[in-house]
Parts: sequence; C-alpha cells; structure tokens
Amino acid sequence: MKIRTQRETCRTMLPFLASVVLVTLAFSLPASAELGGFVDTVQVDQAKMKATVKVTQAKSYAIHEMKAPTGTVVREYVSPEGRVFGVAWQGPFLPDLPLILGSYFQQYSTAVQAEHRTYAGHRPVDIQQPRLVVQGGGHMLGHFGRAFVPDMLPEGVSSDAIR
Amino acid sequence: MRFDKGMFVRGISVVVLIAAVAFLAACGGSGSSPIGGGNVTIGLTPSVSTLSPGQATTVTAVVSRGGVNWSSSPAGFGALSGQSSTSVTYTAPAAVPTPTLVTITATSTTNSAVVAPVQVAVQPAITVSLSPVGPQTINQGQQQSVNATVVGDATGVTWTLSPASGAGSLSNVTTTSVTYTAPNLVTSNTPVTLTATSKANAGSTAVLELTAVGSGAGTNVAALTTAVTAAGLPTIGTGTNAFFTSVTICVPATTNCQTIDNVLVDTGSEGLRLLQSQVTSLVLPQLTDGVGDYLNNCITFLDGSYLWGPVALADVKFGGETAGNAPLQLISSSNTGVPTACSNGGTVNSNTPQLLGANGILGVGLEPTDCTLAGGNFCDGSQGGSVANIYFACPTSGCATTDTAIIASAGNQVVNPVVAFGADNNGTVLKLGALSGAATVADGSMIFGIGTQSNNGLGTAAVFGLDGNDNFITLFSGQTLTASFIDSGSNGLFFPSTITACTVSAGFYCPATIQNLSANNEDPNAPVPVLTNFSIDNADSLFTNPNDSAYSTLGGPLGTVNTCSGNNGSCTFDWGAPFFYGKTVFTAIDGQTTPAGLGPFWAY
Repeated sequence: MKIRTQRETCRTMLPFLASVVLVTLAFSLPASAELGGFVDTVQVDQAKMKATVKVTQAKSYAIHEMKAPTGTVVREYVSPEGRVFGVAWQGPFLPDLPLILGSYFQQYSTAVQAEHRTYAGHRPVDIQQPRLVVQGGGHMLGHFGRAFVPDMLPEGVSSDAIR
Repeated sequence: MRFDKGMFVRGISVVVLIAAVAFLAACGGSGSSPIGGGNVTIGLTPSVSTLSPGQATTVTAVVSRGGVNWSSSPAGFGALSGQSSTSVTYTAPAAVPTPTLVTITATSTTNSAVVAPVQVAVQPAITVSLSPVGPQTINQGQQQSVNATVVGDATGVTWTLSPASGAGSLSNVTTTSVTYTAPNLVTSNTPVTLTATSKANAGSTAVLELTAVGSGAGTNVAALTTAVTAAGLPTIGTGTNAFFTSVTICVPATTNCQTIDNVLVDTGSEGLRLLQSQVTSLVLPQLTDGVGDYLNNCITFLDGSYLWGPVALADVKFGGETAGNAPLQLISSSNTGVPTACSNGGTVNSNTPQLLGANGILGVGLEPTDCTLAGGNFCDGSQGGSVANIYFACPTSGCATTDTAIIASAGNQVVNPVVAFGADNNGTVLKLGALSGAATVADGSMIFGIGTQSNNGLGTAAVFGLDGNDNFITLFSGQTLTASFIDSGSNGLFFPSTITACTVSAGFYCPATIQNLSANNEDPNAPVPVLTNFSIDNADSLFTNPNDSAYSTLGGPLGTVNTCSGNNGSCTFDWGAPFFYGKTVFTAIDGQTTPAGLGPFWAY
C-alpha cells in the first residue's frame, strides 16, 4: 500500500466535512470520551490527530475515517444514535489509544498488563472481555488493531464490520 | 540430612582393619572371652565407598579365628543377602530420598564383643543438566553464560574445560553457573568441552560442546538459543519461544566493553535496545540535540508495550561483526519522565527483564533505522512537517509529560546494527534446527550478510519482494491476507482461522487434535505461490511442561476470518518463531544490494 499524500486526501475530504458538521449539529451533545462516546468526539479526535476525515454511510452505521499526517488511519464506527461503538486503526504508528478508547482505555490498560504478567512471549494483543474487545498486532512501522464494545453493536451489525 | 564427602570411607578395595583388641579393651568385663584364648581380629574389605539407588556391593571379612555374622543399619534401609561367614552383599534401596550413610557390621562368631563396622554412602540419583545445550558456536573473545541444574543434590557442580590449554577461560564461577570466555585469538576452529561434575557424585556429569571460531570462515555467525540463562527473566514454560543471542557493547573506540546475554533477536523491528539496568559496567556517551538536551527514543510494540529511553553510542559487536559508534536505545529504568505522546500508544513500560522477557531486543529487520519505510523517513522532517512520536529531547532531569516529538536526523536514529557493519551488512540469515512440537531448548545461528560469504548464499531459496509497508501476501484457507509478514520476535503463528481459541491460554489456539495446515506465500509484485506447511497444536497442552522454551506448533487468532479488505486488521498472517524451525530464512535490508537484487525482501 502506498501512503496517500496529504494533498490528495485534503481534496477528497471537503464534501465529507460538511456532513460531520451536520451530524454534530443534529445531536449537539457535549464532547466526551471516544469509544462509547457520542459522534461529536470524532471531531475532537480529528483535531488532536491533525487528521483528515472521510465519512462513509453503511446500512446501519457510519464510518468516520481519519488519516493522520504520519499515515495512520483511524476508523470510528458510529451507530444511528450517534454513539461510537467501535474503532479500528492501521498504519506505521499506533494511534493515540487513550484518545480513541476514551473511558475504556483504563480497562484495556489493566487487561494488557495482566496479559504481560501471564505470558512471557511477544505476541499480538487479544483482549476479549464481555464489555470490551481489543485486538491488535503488526510489526515496527506496520500496526493495526480494533476495539469495540459488544453491548453497543447496533442491531444486525456483526463485530466483523469493525476492521 | 547431608554428608560431607570427607565423612565417607574413601577408595576402592581399601582394607579397613579394625583392631579387635580395642573393642575387647572397651568391653572388658563383659563376660565374653575369646574361644581358645588369644585375640580375634576382623579385617573388612568393602569394594566401593558410595552406592547409587538399587546398586549392590560385597563386603569381605578376613577373620583371624572363626567367622562373622552380618548386620546393617539403619534398619530396613536396603538389604543384606548372600551372607556367609566371610562375606555379604548389601543392596541399596531403589528409592533414596536423601544421602544416607549405611553401616555394615561384622560380629565375630567366636567372640560377640569383637565387631568391625564399615560405612557405605548411599546417594540419591543425581542428574546434571546444562543450559544452553550444545553444540554451540562461539566467536573468539566472546562470552557465554552457562547454568547447571542439579537434581537430587544441593551442593552443585564443579566446572572444567578441555583441552587443558587454548580452550579459553572460566569466570564468575559458582556451583550452579559459570561464564565461559572463548580465546581472544582463534586461528582455526577449536572444539571445546565444558564439563559440569556433581560435587556430591563425581559420576554425574553434563557436558556442553562448543566450537570457538576465529578469523576466516565463521566470523559472521552468532549463536541463537531459546534457553533463558540470565537472571530475572520470566520463567519458561509459558510460550516464550524467543531466539536469544549475546551482544557486546563497548564505549566507542575503547576496549571498555560488556557482554549482555538473552537479547531477543527480532526480525520484526529495527535497532538495538538494551535495558539500562543491565548495562552495569559502562557509561556510554549519549546523543544530544546540540543545545544540551538528550535525545530519547520511544518505540511501541505489537503487544501493547512501549520502550522509552536515551539514545547512546556504542561499538556494538556480535557474531564476529562490529557496528562502530552505532546509536542504540538504553531502555530507561524509570517510569517517570515519559512524555504522554510516547506512553500513550502503549500501556506497559517494558523496562525490566521480567516485563521485556529479555535483557534487550536486537532488531535486525528489513529497514535501516526505526523511522524508515520504503525509502521514506518519518522522523527526519522530510514527511511534510509532521514527525512521528519516536524522538524527544529531554534535559538531564528527564522529559516532561507534555513534551512533543522532535526531528532526528537519519544518522542519529537508532540503527539496525547489521546495516552499520563494515561488511556482511545487506541482511541476515536465521537458521534454526527442525523441531517437532515443544522442547526444552532449541538452538540455531544468525549469519550476517546475504551472498557475501560461503555460508550465506541464497541457494534455491524462494525470494519474496514486499509492498510499501514491508508486507507480503499469504493465501490461507480461501483468504488473501495482503498484510502478512515474517517476525522472529512473535512467539507464535498468528492468523485468522476458525480453529478453536483457548479459554485457559487466552490468545492462543486450542484445537482438540493437532491441525496440519498449509498456506502459500507470494510476492505482491510478482505473485508466485510458494507452499508452506505448518501445524497448530493445543496451547493448553503445549504449556504443561514448565521446562519448555521452544514450540514449533504454537499459534493464535489474529483478526477475524474472511473479513480482510484494504489491508485491514484481518489481513495479516504473522509468521512468528514457529515458522523458523527447520528453515533458513533471509531478511534483506531496504536499499541494500544482494545477489537477488535490492532489499527489502524475505527469502527461505
């Protein structure tokens, strides 16, 4: 995969930016945490990542895709109610996980530390808890992963969609 | 109960003469008197002084008059048989929990006051084993730590080297460990045997066969082992599966050096990273930004961990090669002074041997530094004014959590030491022996250079070019996994599959029976499928032996099945350590010339 230049991305993002603004106005909710938070937090993430954004509407959810200047892409999956029920990332660097995992970051952090205590070897992350799933892997300059809250998946949406 | 060896009756066929006169004197007035008058004397000849469980020995008596009766103590510990008036056979019990001194007593039939005892030490079964196991190759002047495990005795071992001269030297000698140093100058390959002998039973030994190599053939080879020899590392038996080597670092242009063992060889990352806590005898110069602040490095790994610490310069030596004045990362022991922009990405600061699972990571991957990919550099300011969170400038007091990343020139970036070698610098070859299932230890070698010497030619290996993310394609079970890679630093094979995941050993596969599988790997630029067979066994079963450190059938889930698109997280087959057993795997560095063209590529 070639990393798209910033200029190309800027051209394509303009029409989508408008839709993000519309969604934000419609809900007009306070900025809060990301995974599990409301859609307006996507904008907070976008600003902090200095990212370009692209919104794709799927059947029963929207995907807000942000691309940081250093090439990492973050996709946030937003339910019809405006809640972020899943996030996924890929690129040369890990995204700002506390930012995109929001209030779930501590749960993730505790689980990862427990995994380190149990197994000595180096391997991908695979956290499977009833209320939080986080998976990730890759090599130096090639990271990927995803996180979602099983309870929050919109009806009829499989967790496979988050990728 | 433990006996000092000095207490034992020594020597074979030593005639132990007991002057019965002494006993008579001591027992004077007992009422018994020698039949026929005169003293009775008994001489006993034991044939051995020590016995192992179940072994027998015959004791013979020379009696001046009449015969003897036999008894032994402690009662019930072993048995006497074949008793005659002048000999008896003693058989040690089959199970001997602790060393026991057995007294076999001959009593004169002529005068019961005349007794002669002889003592035999019965030893528990003692076994000695060494880690690492041989055969090992070691370069001239290099060191190898060796640990002995003694079962059945707590007094440990003594160490000997053969041949008696020219074999190198031993230091840091304890009853359970030793450091072997190969001769400083080896003109031809020299076989060396290191022997550990049980202090309690000289018959119990273990040997490590080593070959010391010098100039000429073999100067580009470093030994690999999965054995954990250094202190403080996690216990094995939980899927470590790590290929370790030893690295020597020196203050640049000096002979002030230290060798660090149990450094993980990782083809999935770039640069040498050593725990600062393990660099005990050196002060390495640190890189500054020109205005007095120190350059610090931050790296995140796939397992949710990060490494943070200053960039230092050292002459880095391993496998007979030297990377002079090379920037490396010293992993800080401190948990404070880490910028949030670094610690954010990872949540485990892997700054102890226990957390890192190693004393350091030797990244010998596809790229020249930890910032480069497909010819681009994410840290030198060339990527549109945005730099990755990898380099930071900190005063001696440490960074603030709010500090942001700075630009670091390519020459100051933590370098893949291989590309900084003077020769054999276009890549590496990892060779591990074939392995079936799990094993206590697996050994191998890391050879430097591709097609530069007689021992690193590509031969008939299939060459796989890579995409712009340093990945290739794996075709597996109907899936086209477009972001697949080979990574010696992953402890298993991780891929999307319907194989049952473990409930106990979370994150691994636990099929009811071993799964014999195959996949095809191909170059994304010139797709020619190359078949690779592999097996996945039940991780819960694989982890039942706490002494194992090598696993050829360990795997686990990654991504979800049949959802790969656009190089997302379900598009990866991570060919970790199990892939390497029984193979010769080449990793060619980006931009370097090889007989098969420019790197990066993999070949096997």
